[in-house]
This record gives sequence, C-alpha cells and structure tokens, in this order.
Amino acid sequence: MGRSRELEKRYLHIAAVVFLFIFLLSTVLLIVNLWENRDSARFPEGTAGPQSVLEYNGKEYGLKEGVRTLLVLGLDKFDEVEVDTGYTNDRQADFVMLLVIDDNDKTVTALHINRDTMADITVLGLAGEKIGMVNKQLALAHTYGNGKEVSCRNTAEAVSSLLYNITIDHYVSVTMDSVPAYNDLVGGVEITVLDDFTGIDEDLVKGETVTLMGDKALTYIRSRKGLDDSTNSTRMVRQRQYLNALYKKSVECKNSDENFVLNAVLKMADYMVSDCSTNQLTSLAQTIIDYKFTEIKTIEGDNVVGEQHMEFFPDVESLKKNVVELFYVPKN
Amino acid sequence: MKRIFAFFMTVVLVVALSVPAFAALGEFIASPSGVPAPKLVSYTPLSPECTGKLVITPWSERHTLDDATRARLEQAYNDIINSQVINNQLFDEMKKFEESHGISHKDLAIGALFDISVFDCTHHEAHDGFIITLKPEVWGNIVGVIHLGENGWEMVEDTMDDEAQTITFTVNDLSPFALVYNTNPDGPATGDSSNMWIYVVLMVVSVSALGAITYNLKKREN
Repeated sequence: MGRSRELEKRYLHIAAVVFLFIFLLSTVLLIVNLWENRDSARFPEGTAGPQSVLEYNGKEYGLKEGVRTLLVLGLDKFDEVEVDTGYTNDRQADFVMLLVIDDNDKTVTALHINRDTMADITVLGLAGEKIGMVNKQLALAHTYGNGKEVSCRNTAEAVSSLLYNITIDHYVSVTMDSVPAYNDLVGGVEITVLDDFTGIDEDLVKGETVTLMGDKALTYIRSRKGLDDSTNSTRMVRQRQYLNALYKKSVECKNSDENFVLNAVLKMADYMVSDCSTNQLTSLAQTIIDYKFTEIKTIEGDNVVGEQHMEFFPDVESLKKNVVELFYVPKN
Repeated sequence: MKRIFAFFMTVVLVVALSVPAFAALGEFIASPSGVPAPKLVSYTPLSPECTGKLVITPWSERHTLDDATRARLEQAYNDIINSQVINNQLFDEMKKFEESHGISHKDLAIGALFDISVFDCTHHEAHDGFIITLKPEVWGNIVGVIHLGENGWEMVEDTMDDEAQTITFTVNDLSPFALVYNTNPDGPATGDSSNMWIYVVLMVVSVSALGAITYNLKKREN
C-alpha cells in the first residue's frame, strides 16, 4: 500500500514535470507566433547598419566612435509645414546636407549631397508600407510619405544607403520660408556674388560684395533658371559659400547673446520638421556652433541629362573617400 | 586639298560634339517632380467608334481633376485607409486576394492610387469600357489591380507581362484604380492565427493539470 502510494507520488511528480515542460514550450511558441504575426512596421527601421570594418585603398578602416549625424533637408515649398493628407507629397528635398559631429575631436564637418544624385529610394504605399525600390534623384525620396516625419525618414534611409549604410541619428527639414527668416535673424549675410543674376535680381551683380537680406538670400541660393549655368552643381557652390558665411554670423550672434540659439530654434519651429525635441535641437545647434567647423565636403561625380531631368552619378572613389574620412579611422 | 578637307571635317566634328555640351550648360533642365502615376502604355476602347482619350492622373495631382472626380478619388483614398481598421467592402475584396493568390490580406498593401478618365469623345456617352495596359513605377511584388467601380470596389482580372513589366486589364467603367502589392513575398504567411489558439489551449490544459497535480500532492502530504 505504502509502496503503491510512493509510486503514485512519483508518477504525479513526473506528470507535473511533463506538464510544466508543455506549459513552458507552448508559452515560448505562442510568443514566437505573436512576434511573427505582429503588424509589420509602418516604416522601415533602416538599412543593415554600417560595416564595422571598411577596406579602402588596400587598408582597413574601423568605425569611428563618438560621431553623431544630423541630416538637414531644405524643401522646395514656401508653405508652413503641414501634414499632407495623403501618401505622397510634392515637397522635394532640394537641399541635402549631412552634418557630422565628432564629439571626440570637437569638430563639425558637413557633407553637401547633390539633390540630383541617383539613389535607391524606398517607395511607400498608402499606409506607409514599403512597396519596393526605385532608382531616382535623391530629392524625390521626400515625396513619398506625408511630407513630414515619414518623408524625412525615407530620405534619411536613402542617404544612409548611399553612404555605405552609415547611421543617420537625426533629421531636420525646413521649408524655403525659413531662409529669409533665419538670414534676417542673424542680421543679414555678406557674400561676394559668384554668378550673373542679370534678369533675375539687378542688385546681385557678379563680383560685388553685398549683404543679403530677406528674399534676396533665398534668390541667391535657390536660383537656377535664367543663369548661364543652370545646373544644381553650380547652385551648390553658391549654397556652400552662403552657408559658410551664415555659420560665421551665427557664431557671432551666439557669442553676443547667450539666448540666441534657443530663440532661433523657437522662431524656426514653424518652418521645421524634426525627430528632435526643442531641447534636443537647441543642444545640437549649440554643439554645432561651439565645435570647430572644419569644412563642407562634396562628392564628385557627373551631371548627365537624363530622359527628362538632370541626373547626378557620384564617383564611386569620391563617395567612398568621403565616407572613410568622415566615419572611419585606420585600423592599427 | 586633302589636308584642307581633313581640317574642315575636324572643325565640323569638334563643333558638332561641342554643341550638346554647351546646350546642356545653357539649357535649363527642369527638376523632376512628385510621385508619378503608372505609365499609361496603351488603351483600346471596346467600342470601335469611340474616339475618347484616356488620361491618367496620380494622387499627387488630384487638384487638377474636376470636383466630382477628385471627390471620388478622395473617397477611394479614405476607403483604402479605413480598410486597415474596419471591415469595409474594400476589405472584403482584399480578402479575395488571399483566395486567388494565397497571400494573407495583412501582407497586401496599396502601392499606387490614381484616376483614369476619358476625354474628347464626341461619339457617345457610354464607352463600353477599355482594355488598358499600365507600366507601374514599382514592378516587383505587384499582385494586381483593384478598382472603385459603379458597384463598389472590385478586383480586376489582369494579365501581367514580367518582361515588359506591364499589367493589362479590361474595365467597363472608369474611376479610381489602385495597384496592390505583396509586402511579404519571402516570409511565412502572417495573419494565420490558428496555431496561436493551439498554444493557448495547451497552456491552459497544462496549467490546469499542474494545478490539479499540485493540489493532489499537497492533499496526500496532509
């Protein structure tokens, strides 16, 4: 009797272990099933991530640490940024610049990317799903999505993919209204006119030094049609010249007014879309002004007239060189 | 004489090759704009006497449509967005893709919404439909065409040409169209929840059995 009770007890223990095992297994399988059946992400999380080691000119380079990136997009629209009630919009990213902030060296370097760069762009469906890829001008990546965050992230993904999958940490897009607004906030920007603006603006005479105010600033960096050389590449030269001068004015303003950066961010908020909060943007802007600004880099390549529009094909060597110099260090 | 001729031909050649370069520099090349509609490759009216011309308008250019057509396109957009949330008639049509293509409706997405309208037909009011061939912007993973007709949403029978990357279909009335894509071409079928319930049942049974065994063991000890 006692022995049979012991045996029963043992069987019950074994049964308990078996059922516990079944419970744990079914729990794990349920979790896996739920994970696989989750709604697919509305927007791709991003590309595969940068290579930890990159080979260039026969040498190996490792990823630099302490580097952050901010993608700045200038949209070819005047309106205050509004959410488009659709899955596409007509706001192209006419200006594309990647700011690379090195917290170890305390430097900021900019990479100015041609908006006509032929790049692999994600096409989004009506509900933001990834439908497929097309190879088009980089500026068009922003036209997929709602014209705000979704479009910015789509552009960031295209830029990341172009630059060997480096991580884009943050983005900020601004409409064209922001140019005269910020230009005047710093008290105007002095430049020497590089191109002949006859027929566009008689006050912008080639070779003369002028202080750009209001819409003249926008005219100077935006105009293409009517100029002798109407390519975007030539326009980019003027844009870099203007930005260098604007940066210096911004530093002067910040040095003379400790609240300048915060006030500028607040004033520009109406023209801006970003994944950063006001505090984060203010902190980033502060860093960019405090650090040493090294240079504005560009990617060499060829402008080709496509079937209907201009196409820019970056030189592979130049592209890789820029990526290595900005994001990698030699492996010892 | 030969040298003069050769020199002359050289000059002509150099000038001829230079002209496009200078033309490209001076000529203003417009920037591309917006998200295009699928390319309307060809169309054939089912009525031989029909002289109508078809025009395709992408969602991004809906402001160019007349009020009624734009309203219909916007209704189509709302139906599509709402079908993600509620079981409307479009949702039922999308379920048909599951049956016909073996693709879960959760993996289907609308990739392009556009209007096709007929203009300049002086012959008649009813056109008896058209055979239409489109070339979508994105070809890979396309599964079909859906159409907001007079009787609501309907899946359109189509023929796909993978080489030409075109899709051909016949419709009896023109109104908003949308292209349907498979967003999960390689993965396992999602949305299949039958396994989930098996696991839940197993969990409940095993917990109940554990509870019963534990109670029994404690009773014996007491």
